[in-house]
Amino acid sequence: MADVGLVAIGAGLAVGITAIAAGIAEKEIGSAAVGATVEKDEAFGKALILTVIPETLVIFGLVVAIMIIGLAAE
Amino acid sequence: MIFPERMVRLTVIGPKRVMERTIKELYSLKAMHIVEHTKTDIDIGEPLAKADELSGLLVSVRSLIASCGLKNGKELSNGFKAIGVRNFKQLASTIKKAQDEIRIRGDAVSDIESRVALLREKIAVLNELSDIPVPIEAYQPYRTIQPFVGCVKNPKELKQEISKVTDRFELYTSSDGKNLALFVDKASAEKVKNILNERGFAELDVALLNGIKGLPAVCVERIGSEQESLARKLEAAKRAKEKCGRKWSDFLLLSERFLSMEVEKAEAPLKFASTKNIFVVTGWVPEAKLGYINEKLKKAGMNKISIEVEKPKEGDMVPSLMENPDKVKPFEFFMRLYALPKHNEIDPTVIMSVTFPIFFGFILGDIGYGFVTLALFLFLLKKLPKMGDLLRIMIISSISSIFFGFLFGEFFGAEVVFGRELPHIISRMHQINELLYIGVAIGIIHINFGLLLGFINVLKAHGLREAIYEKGSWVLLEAGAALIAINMMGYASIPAYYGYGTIAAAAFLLYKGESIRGLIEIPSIFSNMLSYARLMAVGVASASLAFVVNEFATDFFGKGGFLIIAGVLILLIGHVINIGLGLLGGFLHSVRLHYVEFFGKFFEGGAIAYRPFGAK
Repeated sequence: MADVGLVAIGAGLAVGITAIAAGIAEKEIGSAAVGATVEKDEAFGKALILTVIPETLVIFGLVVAIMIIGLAAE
Repeated sequence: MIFPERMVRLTVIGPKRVMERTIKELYSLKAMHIVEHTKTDIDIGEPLAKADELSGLLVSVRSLIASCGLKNGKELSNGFKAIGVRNFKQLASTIKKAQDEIRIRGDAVSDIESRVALLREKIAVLNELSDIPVPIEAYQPYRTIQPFVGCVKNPKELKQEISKVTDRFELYTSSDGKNLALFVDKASAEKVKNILNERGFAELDVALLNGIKGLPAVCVERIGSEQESLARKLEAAKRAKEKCGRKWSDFLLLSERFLSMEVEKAEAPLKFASTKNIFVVTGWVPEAKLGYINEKLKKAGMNKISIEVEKPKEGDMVPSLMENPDKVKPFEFFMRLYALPKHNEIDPTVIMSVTFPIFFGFILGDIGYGFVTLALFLFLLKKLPKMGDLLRIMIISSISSIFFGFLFGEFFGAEVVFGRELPHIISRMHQINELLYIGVAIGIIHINFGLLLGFINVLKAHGLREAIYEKGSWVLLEAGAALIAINMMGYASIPAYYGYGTIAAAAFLLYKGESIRGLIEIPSIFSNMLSYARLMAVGVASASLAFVVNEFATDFFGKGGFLIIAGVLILLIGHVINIGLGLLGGFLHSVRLHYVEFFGKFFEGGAIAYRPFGAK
């Protein structure tokens, strides 16, 4: 059994850092998407979808966090 | 259903004298998506002779409609008859008549409006002068006296300063001294003006008050009553104009429809190719309607036109018309949002109509939330029929949420309601790992289904060999990875080189199919599968938030008294926010799984929409 605190920090880092990464990516896409939507109203749907694409990063982070907790419990 | 409607290219060639009849027939058929002719050796056609006059009339009708603020016209059934005129000439003269009647009343309104505006300006000036005890007529220009009427920013010791320049002046000020009327000998007017300007003098336009006599306060009263009577007149004039607008409403709205149709017909030749005597029009029609269209056009062209039919060729911009059963039709919304399927590829609407609600339900899965959103979308459907497609999708998805709510045993985030635990198949609060596996398993099935569809698409377009190279290779790759995984996890002992060999073979096929780009993308298939973990992740996040809201509110309830109200508020606000987030997350992530992970395996899209000539 690993140190509980370290496991928690590890899991937290996995989610936190990926969330920051997703945030940075979405910032760029989001501002471009808003620009595109102003130019062309119909682009809203596509813009919204494109903006959420980097959220996969957080999902991966979460999966890794779950795996860290799972492995530590063994 | 699985493929978009089959289209064929139709080329109609005929002598110019039957062109107008042909256009009329094409318009009423509402079936041909005309491809605009671009100028080559053959010129673009010229609009019919009456086009100019028609569009002129259309412009006047539209301006009348706008000035009277008319809307909601009746459907136009049968041309002139519905409008109440016999022919084009009568239509034009009636429009003229309407224009005259409406214009007279409109002019009356704007005349009174400008008078009202003038009065308002006068009153504004008078108000500035109200506590200066000088009759208005005194502000007239004189031969030897220069009046200054206005306000200064800094009135301090103004009088003293002026008396340094001249003693031939008279100064009246308001109580705060800022508004003033100053009468100065013309000889020293320039110097006094400079003094005033230094103090930020702004002149009042007293010329506006020409013809008014008496003290300002009295004048304001007099003009006020004048204003009132004008306001009554304005009201009456507006009513008259409105009445006149109502009288012509039906006629104008119907004429607008009629004329815009006629203009569209008259300008149709701009899309044709034409020579001195011949016109040529090409376009796409659904293959299923071909016989009917052929017959109708031949008849309209008095057998003088020739019609050629071609199947679509590689590289043609074939317009796309999705053909789905009514129940599935709303889901075409997703295709319009993303890209329309090309004529020779699978239209995934039907598949999405099944998988989208499942994904959405999996994410939002909660009995309470499901019922709330169901009620919300049923209500919105009545209020916003224009967004019908999206709302119908959301209604189906809400029902799916309720279903998954029962599977997860969740009611507004609570697993225990009134001391009873809800029965559940799997708990989202406690079996996160299992949910993760289920999510990824759904992903593997979904992605492989996508690859299968891709296989069919490529098979249809380029043949079996390409299909195996481009899509079969991915399945082989997965099989190789599975062999290695089985070996590593110790479920069965398979020699490792079996797995690696399979992957190598898959990579080779992929290289043949999609060259180096395919090899680079190899890891993507696994990240795509893992991406379906969001089905679990977003859902668990939503469930946890609901759980937190409930816990928080329960704490407050326990304290009793006034805090119970706070608890209720927390429940209400918390769940409303969480439902909002859940809807947004559930929708976006479900859509995204389709657009990115699923469509990426088979869908190209990018066709233009089928817009037949004559349809709205």
